[in-house]
Amino acid sequence: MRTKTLLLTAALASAGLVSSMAQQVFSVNAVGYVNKTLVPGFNLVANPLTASNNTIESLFAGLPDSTRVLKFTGSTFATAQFDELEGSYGANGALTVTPGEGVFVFIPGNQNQTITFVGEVATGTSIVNPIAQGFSIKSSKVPKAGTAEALGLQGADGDKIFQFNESTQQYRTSGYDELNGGWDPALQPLEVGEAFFYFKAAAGTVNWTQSFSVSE
Amino acid sequence: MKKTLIALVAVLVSLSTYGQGSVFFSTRDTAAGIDAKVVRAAGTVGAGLGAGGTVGPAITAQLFLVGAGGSLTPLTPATTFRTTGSAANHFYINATDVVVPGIAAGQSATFRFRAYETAAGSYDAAANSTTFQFGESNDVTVSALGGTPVGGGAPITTPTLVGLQGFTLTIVPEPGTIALGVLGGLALLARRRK
Repeated sequence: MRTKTLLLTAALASAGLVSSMAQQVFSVNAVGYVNKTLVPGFNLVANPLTASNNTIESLFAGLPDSTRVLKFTGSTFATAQFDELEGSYGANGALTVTPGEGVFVFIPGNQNQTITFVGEVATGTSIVNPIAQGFSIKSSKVPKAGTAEALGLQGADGDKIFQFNESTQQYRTSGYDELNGGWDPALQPLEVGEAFFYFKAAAGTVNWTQSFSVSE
Repeated sequence: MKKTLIALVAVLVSLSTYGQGSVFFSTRDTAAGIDAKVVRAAGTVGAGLGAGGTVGPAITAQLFLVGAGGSLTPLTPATTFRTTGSAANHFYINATDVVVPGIAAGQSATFRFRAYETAAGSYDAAANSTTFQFGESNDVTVSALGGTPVGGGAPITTPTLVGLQGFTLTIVPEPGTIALGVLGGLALLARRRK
């Protein structure tokens, strides 16, 4: 799985005017694109950017007939299958994949496919990704590579991370052990556009908080 | 005491959720070799499937769980056949995920696909009538249902019905029709003996 480096292009998105004072305030949104290679079989994919249309139908357009996108619903998956006779992914094509989430994408055949994510980059000092008890598919909300821990995810005793290896089509599991002082085995780096399964052992929701600026 | 009760209920709810595997009910998947067309019974007209028919969701498609002794349990949701795109598209169902109560993710299950005219109300009603079309597929076994397996482990991706084959709908002829057919056969036999 290869991902080209994110290229950032600053763009003026909107201008807010303070009418009473002759003071103009501009917001600057960082916009970029990420190319992601999908291998035949299953890929655990994240959408690293906020697109104008974050539906499965839009994000995964142009893939081969019978491509399947599976979004985890808490206990099972909702499946969207592209059928070239229909020209769409069906009803589940309206499901969205936003930064911080992830989906399985099954690529049929024996050739790699490339998709391009285009959209706004999340920036700020408090970019929050809530994690509830149980299983969920998570990803970094900021388009950076690194281990989940290096990207700001703090584990708790009993938590597990399941990273999917496209080459072997198997999970690689790491468990968080407070007695051991961290993840065991050590986490492997995530690429931009890569998601993982997270199992949160304790009740309640915790926030995975990140910060990012375009100068990074 | 109250906290213990709440915790127990939460565990029971989560266990019941984990006790249900799922399968992806699709009749067209070129990657998996699934091309399970359903064709209307010969001589029938009207809304429904197949080339030559007008478009209309008049046929219900439903997956059944094949149990011990051949018992069949209907699964939900049922679905309908496609009505958009080319006529070739109308042989196939609108695919849907189907949850299999009582069989956990990771376990195997056997399924049969049945189709019947929606107006009949059920497959059995169609099969017991002389006016409604109905039909069923071969049995297909899935080795591991999708979902979160009981006892731990990352969720299993939802499998497809590899090996599923299509079929042609049929209508049970009226008794009068059967009788005429028998009489016709007997008449032919009598002529040959002469």
